[in-house]
Amino acid sequence: MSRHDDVPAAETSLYCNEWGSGDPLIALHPLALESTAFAGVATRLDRLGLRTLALDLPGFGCSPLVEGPLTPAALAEPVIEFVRTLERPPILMGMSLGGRVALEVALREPERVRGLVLVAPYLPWRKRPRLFRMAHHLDPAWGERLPLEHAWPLLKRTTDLLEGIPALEHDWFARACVRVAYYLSCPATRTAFFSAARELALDPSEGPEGVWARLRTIRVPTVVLWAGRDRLIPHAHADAVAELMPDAARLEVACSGHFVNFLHFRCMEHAMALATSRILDAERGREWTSQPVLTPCVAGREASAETAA
Amino acid sequence: MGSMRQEEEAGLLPWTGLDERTCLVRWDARGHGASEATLREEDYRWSELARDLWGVADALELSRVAIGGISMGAGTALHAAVLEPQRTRGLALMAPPTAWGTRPRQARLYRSSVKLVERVGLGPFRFFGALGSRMVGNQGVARVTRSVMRGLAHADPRAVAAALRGAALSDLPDPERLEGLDVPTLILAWKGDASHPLSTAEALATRLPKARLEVAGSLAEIEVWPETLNSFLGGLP
Repeated sequence: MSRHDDVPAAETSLYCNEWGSGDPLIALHPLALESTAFAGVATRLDRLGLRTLALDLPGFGCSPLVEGPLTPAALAEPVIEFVRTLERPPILMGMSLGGRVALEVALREPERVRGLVLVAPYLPWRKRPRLFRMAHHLDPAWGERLPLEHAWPLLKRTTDLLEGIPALEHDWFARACVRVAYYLSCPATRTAFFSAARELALDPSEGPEGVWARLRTIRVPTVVLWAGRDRLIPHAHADAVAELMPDAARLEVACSGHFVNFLHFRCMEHAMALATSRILDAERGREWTSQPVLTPCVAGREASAETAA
Repeated sequence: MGSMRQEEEAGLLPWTGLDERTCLVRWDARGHGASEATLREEDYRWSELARDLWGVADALELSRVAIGGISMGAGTALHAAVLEPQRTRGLALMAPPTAWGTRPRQARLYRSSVKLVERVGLGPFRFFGALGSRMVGNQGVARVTRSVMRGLAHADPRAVAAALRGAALSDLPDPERLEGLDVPTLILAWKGDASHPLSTAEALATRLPKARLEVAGSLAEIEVWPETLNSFLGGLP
């Protein structure tokens, strides 16, 4: 059962879905999705004694859009404000765009972060910089000009039908993806989508402000989980991050893609919980292996256990 | 190459007949079943898996335990007993694998399998495994082989290759070290399986000072193993 509320954050408020009890873990969603995507993994995190606080980033889900370009720093600002209100430093979990925002929070306020779990984090591509610079021409105001709101009844009905597919009943990431269709019928969400996508593409990769150079300075215990079938994040990023962050644990869920995984959605959720347990293990004095670790495919095993139950 | 799930699918669990006095702890070895995998072959040496066994015992705060396993699990248990004999109440070794003189040939087979996995993946491996299981006379062995091959359908080829390389690097402890292992031991072996030859079971029975060997020639004889194991554990000091 989730609890949800608007929580104060800087000059805006963020919508927060909350599951479980215990020490706080803040979960940050991928581009275009929202906080309900973490409903499945939150059950597993609860078993680890963690209370999941999944936030809708500004402009997504139920959080209002803020003024200005949605750079990773701008998205991180209200999250930092929210972190400051918590009774103890949280673990930060971020997926894709959420991973980039979590990194920004840990870089700016390391003493307020207990640990970092980055799931297929978006990092600027080091190849084809010219291609990405073309994003300068993308104007977020286009979002408001697309007349998609007229199609809202149709999009909502289609989404409801898709969400009703039995295979998606427990797959919260897929359900959040399905809902993107009608989220985008909201002009503010479209603007947020274009703005965040533009700023991710323009996120500097090199130079002192480039995130790759700043990775070396991260001192927060970090676990990075990569997906073996990810078509959005280059596999070369895993080796590059391992080189720049030699103390970070590196996990791979080989059977999963970026976030829509069909039969393997449980494998991703299981891997996210395993990655988080690494942070807790480190606090208990257990050392991480420096080697890459493959998390198991649990698709058949957990599905049959659920059927039996 | 097996896992708890595959043991259950094979339906040949010697563990099922244990009475209520026994607290049974099972786990999937690293890189197997639902446990995490590393890609370094040294991590899969049986001596490393034995350290995992004592890691599990430590985590559960178990000071002195009876230990056992099937095939690779038997190798792991034997290494674990050699590592910590004072913590070992008893040893149950089922289907002991190739060892010492018969190990180099098995290691070559594993290394050839690694080449196959690396070049074409796990598909042919599963096909030939399934085919081979139909040609085995012993129905118990055939069931185990089939369940292992089904399990490979969900495995990662890199992890399988690392585990096979680790198995190729592994052997049972030196026979001289076994002679000093003063631990009650039950050895359960079956006939008709070149990967788990009777010669290893017989050599273990000769070397280990407190060993008893039982050999099954048919599925019916394997199916009484739970009772044999239960009675062995009940008689441990």
